[in-house]
This record gives sequence, C-alpha cells and structure tokens, in this order.
Amino acid sequence: MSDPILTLSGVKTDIAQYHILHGVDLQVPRGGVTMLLGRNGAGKTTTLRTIMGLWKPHAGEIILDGARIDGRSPAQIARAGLGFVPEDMGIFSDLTVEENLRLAALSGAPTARRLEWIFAAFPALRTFFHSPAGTLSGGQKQMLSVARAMIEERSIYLIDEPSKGLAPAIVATLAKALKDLKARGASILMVEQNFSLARALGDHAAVMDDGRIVWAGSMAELAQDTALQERLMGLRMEHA
Amino acid sequence: MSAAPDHTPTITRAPLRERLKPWLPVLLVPTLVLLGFLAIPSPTSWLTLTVSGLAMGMMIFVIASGMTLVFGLMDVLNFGHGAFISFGAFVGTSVLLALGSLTGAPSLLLNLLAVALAVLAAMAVTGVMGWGFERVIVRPVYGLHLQQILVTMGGLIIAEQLIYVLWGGQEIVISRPETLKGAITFLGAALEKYRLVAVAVGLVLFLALRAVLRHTKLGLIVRAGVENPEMVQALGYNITRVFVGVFIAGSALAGLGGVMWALYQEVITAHMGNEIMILVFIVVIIGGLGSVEGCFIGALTVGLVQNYAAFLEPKLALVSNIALMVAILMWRPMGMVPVVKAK
Repeated sequence: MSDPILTLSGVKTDIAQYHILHGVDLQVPRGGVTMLLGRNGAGKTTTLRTIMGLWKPHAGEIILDGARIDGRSPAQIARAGLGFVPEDMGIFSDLTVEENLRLAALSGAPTARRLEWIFAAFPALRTFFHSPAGTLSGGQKQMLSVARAMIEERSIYLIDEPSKGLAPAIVATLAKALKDLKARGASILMVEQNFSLARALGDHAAVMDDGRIVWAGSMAELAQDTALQERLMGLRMEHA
Repeated sequence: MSAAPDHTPTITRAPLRERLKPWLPVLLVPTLVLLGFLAIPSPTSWLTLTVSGLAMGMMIFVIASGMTLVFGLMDVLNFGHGAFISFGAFVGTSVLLALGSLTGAPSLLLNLLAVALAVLAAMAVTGVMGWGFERVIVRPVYGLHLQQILVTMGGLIIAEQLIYVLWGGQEIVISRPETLKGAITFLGAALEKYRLVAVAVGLVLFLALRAVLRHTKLGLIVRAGVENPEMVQALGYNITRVFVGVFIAGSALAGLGGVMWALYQEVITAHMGNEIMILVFIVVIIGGLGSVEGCFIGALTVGLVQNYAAFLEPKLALVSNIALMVAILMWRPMGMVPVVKAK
C-alpha cells in the first residue's frame, strides 16, 4: 500500500489484567473508508481507543502521516488531526447542540459554511441547535456525535459503530453524510457490525479476531466471498 | 442501501409541570424567605436575619464553588479544602493588621484598598498552596476515593500545624476596617454594613463565574469536563491542565472565603476552615456535585435556614442544616441541580 495515512505495527494493549490486543498490524489508506470488522470482543473498539490514546499500548507503533503518535496524550493525538466518534457517542448532555459543536472546533468556532454542510446532512441539528443535547433522541445524538467529528477537516476520522441501536431511517441519514464526507476525500477508519452498511460505505476492510488483524483487503473482495465472510466473521450474507 | 428518507424532527411542548421542574430549586430561596417572613413575628428581625443568612450563604458559596468544580471535574474528594480557608484567613488578617493605617482611616476607599490587598495576598498564597497540594497530595490518588479522604485529611492536619508554627497557637482577633463597622438602618431594621458587602461580593462572584462557565471556551471545557473528561481529551483539550487550573482557582476562592469569614467572625483560629467544612460539604451535596448554580442555591438555602432556625428555635440550629440536607436529598437524590456524568 502506497503512503498510508495511518499505520499500526505490532500494537499490543492490556486493560487491567486482560490482554486485549495481541499485536495489531494495520494500514489505513489515504482517502476512502476502511472498515474494521470482526466478532464481538475481537478488539475493534480497543484498537480505535488505542489509536486515540485513551488506552496506552505497551508494545508496537502507531504512525499518523509519518509521525509516531503512540506515546502522546489523547489531546495531542486529537490535535495531530484525528476526529473521534466513540461507541457511546460521548455527547455532553448539559451543553447545547451549538456548544457541543463549538467545543469540537479547535480553531475557535465552526465556520458558517461548515455548519451549513452539517445542517444539510442532519437537519435535526439545526432545529435543536440551542437545545440541550441531553434532550435529543438516540439517533439525533449519534448525528451530533458524527457532526462534532466533522466540524473541521481532520486527517482521519475514527468512527465506532455509528449504526448501533438506531432505526434504519436514521442509519440511512448517517450513511449519506458519511458518503458525503468520503466524497470530499476524507480518510475514515470505521468499526461496524452492520455488514450491509459496511459494504455500502467501505472501500477497504480489515477483519479482527482475538486481538489481531486476520484478514485485510478490498471491501469488494470480501463482499463477494461469502465463504470468507463466514470463516472470518461468522456471517451469512442471506442473513446479513 | 436505500436513499435516506427525510428525518424531520417534531417538537412537542412539554406539560407545564415538566417545564417548571428544573426551575423549582430556584424558587426554593424566595420560598424560604417568604416562610421566614411568616414565621418570624417582627419584620425588622426578619429583614436582619435574611440579610445575615444571605451574607453567610454568599461566603459559603465563595468557599464551596471551587470545591464543587474540583469534585465534578476530576471526582476528587478534597477534605483538605478547609486548609485553604484557614490559610487565607491568616494571610489576609496578617496583611490587614500590617495595614493598620489604612484599615483605621475613616475612608471607604482606603479601607477597601486594604481589604483588596489582603484578599489578593490570601488568594495568591492559597492559589500556590493549591498548586502544590494537587501535585504532591492529590495527583497520586486520582480515582481512589478512600485514599483521597485519608491523604487530604493528612494534608489538612499538616496545614493546621503549619499555621501554629507560623502564627502561634493563640486565636487572633481582627476588627473590621473602620467604614465597614456598624450597621445601617433600613425600614427600621439594623443591617450590618459588612454583611451587605459580603452579599455584594458573593453575588458579583457568582455572576462572574457563571459568565465564564456559560460564555467562554474555557467554561465550555470545564462544563464538558465535569460530565465526560475522557471525551474532552479526545476532542483535543488537556483536561489535566484544566483541572490543575480549576484546583488553583478553587483554592484561591477558598482563600478569599477565608478572609471574608475572618472579617465576619472577627476572630481566627487554625481550625476555622475545618469547622466550616461541614456546611461546605452540605452545600456541595445538596447543590448537586459539580454544579455552580446548585452550589449557589444550596449556599443561600443553608445560610437562611441556619439564621432563621437559630432565631426561632436555637436548639435546632445545630441540626437544621443536616435536616435540610436529608429533606433535599429525599426530594432530589442527585442534588438540586444534578450534573449528568458519563457512565
């Protein structure tokens, strides 16, 4: 792979006494969506949190755009150009939608142009712009979480299961917004259990099992090979 | 994947009862004042007690505001907060005693200048103390509540002993600056000038704190950090640096509160900070851990209840605030203005 935006080499992470990542090797290409797939407990969320610096790896290297980031604090990593959408959305309920977005704008405040783009993708956020984020529905909170990561250009976006627990209509809204982000040339590393969403959005795929990457290639290749899906993830496409 | 359907939100107006719910704590203070008016036979006594209660509440608020933010932001139980109150009182008193020519002059300007210098010195000393306290005592025990209680209590004891070393074991009597002595008469009630000043200082401080928290980026970071510090870091902000800043500011505010309390009591002792901490804890708990607005309402409520109870039934004064805490926690178990915490 030529010039990946993000490279993980032999990354090992422990949480308390549990060994979660056993040496993750992953290259995320510049531009496009890389899907990180795998069974529950494979280590996908841990991988994203380790990249973000929220859990410290005890071995291995993480390189973003040519610079090593694995020893840095989460704040330094975020400022190096990572936008993060955590699994639990990480919304600040006491802050308004506007305040959530303003906080994410490291340059000070979001530009009007960027806000308009976000409102076009997620009209609900315009409606509830001055409402406390805690009053939003689950789907609207997920929209806000994604919008917060998109509020400024980032080198790469780490997105953890955006479709989790959401109604199909809202998943479709999110998918459209992420496609739009991808069309602007963004690099995205996304964890997703919903294989049809992963197939619709993904350009590349990496499959994890037991804290390691066990397969990596193009999403088209994975989508066509049902035997491979079943072997790697226990998926049967007719049920997916 | 099918095309995204319009996800147009609908807004329904909540019932009046639901809309009023968040505002009920705000109504507590005026309700209490009204109940006091009905219960206290003499309107002039009621007015005097109300001003006294508000003054006391404002001073407790000044002391407690930093502590509630420290707890909310980093989940730190700082039992050593009382040390900053005592140190602030002793440093401030020393400055006021040294500036006898200014405090004794019959000039409001000179008197206020002396108080301002005393407050600045107290806040500077307690701010630096807070920085050291956080680095040496608190930082090694983040996330460990039992250890926090033990080690911050230890810090408090050391600080009190340090006061004995520096200022001796005797209590120090301090009189208020000349123009702040005495009372003014308003509607037939005698209102102590100093208590009116304390109300004004507390109110200004509350409005300033609220403006910083509501309208600045730093305030946004602190409010978000109280709810979910990890996410604040993931957005690119060094929450540890913010926390140290809040700890220093909280310690400095306790120092300011110490000076105000010293001038209120007109006598200071090494353990005065520790003595007032029970009221500070009650205020922080009933206000809602981490909430400055809740802390403000809680402090005024505690001040008023303490003064009204002491007048109406002196024997109940000691238990009145504990009873108040029990009642409020039965009404709102998370405090009057609960702060949402990320799970």
